[in-house]
Amino acid sequence: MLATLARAGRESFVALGRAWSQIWFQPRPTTPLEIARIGVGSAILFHYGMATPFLFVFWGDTDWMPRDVALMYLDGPWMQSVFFYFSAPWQWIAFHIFFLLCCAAFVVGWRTSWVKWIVLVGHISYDYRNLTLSYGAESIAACLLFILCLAPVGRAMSLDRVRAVRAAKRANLEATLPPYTGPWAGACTRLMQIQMAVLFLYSGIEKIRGDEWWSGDALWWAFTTTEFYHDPLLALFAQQYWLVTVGTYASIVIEIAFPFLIWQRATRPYLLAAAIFLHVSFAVLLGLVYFSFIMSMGHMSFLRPEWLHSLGAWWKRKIGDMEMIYDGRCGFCVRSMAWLLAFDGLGQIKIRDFRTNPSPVVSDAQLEKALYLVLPDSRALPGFEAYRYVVLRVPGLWWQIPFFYVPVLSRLFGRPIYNWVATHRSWLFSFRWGAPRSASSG
Amino acid sequence: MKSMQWRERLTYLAMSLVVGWHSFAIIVAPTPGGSAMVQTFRFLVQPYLSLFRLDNQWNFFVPVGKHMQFRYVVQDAAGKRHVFIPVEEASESVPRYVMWREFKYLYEGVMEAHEIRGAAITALLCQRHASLNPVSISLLQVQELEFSPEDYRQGHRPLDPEFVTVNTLSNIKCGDGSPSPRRSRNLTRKLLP
Repeated sequence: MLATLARAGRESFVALGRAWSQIWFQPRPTTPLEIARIGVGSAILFHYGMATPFLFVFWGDTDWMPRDVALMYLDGPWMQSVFFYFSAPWQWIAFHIFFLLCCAAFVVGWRTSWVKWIVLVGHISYDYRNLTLSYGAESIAACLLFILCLAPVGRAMSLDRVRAVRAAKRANLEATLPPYTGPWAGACTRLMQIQMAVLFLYSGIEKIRGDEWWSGDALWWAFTTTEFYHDPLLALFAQQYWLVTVGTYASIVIEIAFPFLIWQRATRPYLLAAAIFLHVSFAVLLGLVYFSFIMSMGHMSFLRPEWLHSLGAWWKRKIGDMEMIYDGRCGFCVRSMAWLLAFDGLGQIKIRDFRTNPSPVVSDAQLEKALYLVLPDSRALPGFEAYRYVVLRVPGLWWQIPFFYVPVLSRLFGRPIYNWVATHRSWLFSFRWGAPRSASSG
Repeated sequence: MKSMQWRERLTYLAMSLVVGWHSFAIIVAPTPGGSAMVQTFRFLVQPYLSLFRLDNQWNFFVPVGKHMQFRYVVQDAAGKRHVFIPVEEASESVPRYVMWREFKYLYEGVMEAHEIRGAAITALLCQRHASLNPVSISLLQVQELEFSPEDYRQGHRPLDPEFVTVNTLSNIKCGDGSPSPRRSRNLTRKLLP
């Protein structure tokens, strides 16, 4: 009897442990968290960047919020801000510049493992320095940033990843670095999901406790306030008041349903779409762009890795194969290819060293002069045109689009620059790396 | 081999503690603190919530309520009154346009704590409007009243005089505004998004 009980207890404990692991520690990629990182980071960078001219108005000691007044809004010693320790104006300016640089590094994923903490500390510091400015956007940004700090972000869609891939490819261009997956990434993704679910649950519950929401008039009240005043919409609502009632109740239904139905495989896409729709509405109709964008980024944690994988596969199919033919004897070319391929997260570009594997499409003589890109229809694009084609079609290189697609100017300057680099590639390699000149003359 | 196993177990335990603790904290944070149990939980997690800015009620738009607008009147030496409505002033730059809401909340913060901040803000505004030769400044709060669809159909708008009340929060002479804030822990914190 006792032995049976002990066995049952042990089995229950094991089952519980398995369930706990399944909920929290399933190995997952960091991709959904990286999307949240880029989104939240961009929003914070934009927000505080725009606040730069008002640095002293909002957070200074001699303007609307002197330090002793700011301290009145705080409750206890745990609410801290680096601004409380500054005394000279240059310290505000230096910190602000440093913080913005860290935000930019956080967005692009450069040294993510430590800049994320500076972004969090900075955001909390600005917030606590003047709590009168604080609203939902700051709160949710702090919550998401904290989870991103705990998470192993920077392992995908980041310069850190690019650097790691490039390091592997410098030794061998064919080398691949498997995408990062780990149980801690799964746990942090789950934490962000729980954060969003808790937020929606409490937001929904609080609403149904209020008369304005029960009566179905909340939307009307919101749009008549000076903060959210929207004349065309009020004109419509005044004529078709049922829209107010439907909108009010729909908001509550989405917020209450979200924390319960977002977990199921079948209902997740609909709830996710509804939540994003709700926030797009807030952004467009209420002007809450910053808040809505950050909330939407929090919802990115619900993206299933297989959805993102399918999206990547679809994009790859749509664009088709691209083969880049390079000069394997030229050190500069190999290094450039390592850089380029490091940004090709989807593995869209195939490579061919014409020295060891001649191309049936482009002659060696042509390849001596420039790199070529061969497309599935056997078109071959040389040098600058090859890069221009690739930049638009490889998501990791989209940041270069502004340089390659400025009408007239890009081609006017791009081609001569490319041709100059191609003809001087051996010299550039020896100049930069101090290596012996390659056999190719270019 | 054995030490490796132990390391794995300890890592797993540490990870479990972190996710368990954080989930617990973010669930406790918005829970209404009426019961003794919630208060005990809150006591436990409060430093963590405060330090990392995780203490949120998530009560967006509750209540939607009626809002208020900050205005001030500068009275010059000739007795002329100049009315300023900061949130309605044209944005002179893109950053000013983007930070519109932050400025609105900044002014609302003054209205919410006008007994404490009125004097200092008046001194600041006296400096800003020195070219007007200000004698005194009145801080005003324009409180919005109920506004129905019927009112709108009749051609009224929410800020028409019959749909607002104007409260004079303070009237302080320029030169009297020395900041002397009292400490207060009960200032309202905005949680509307």
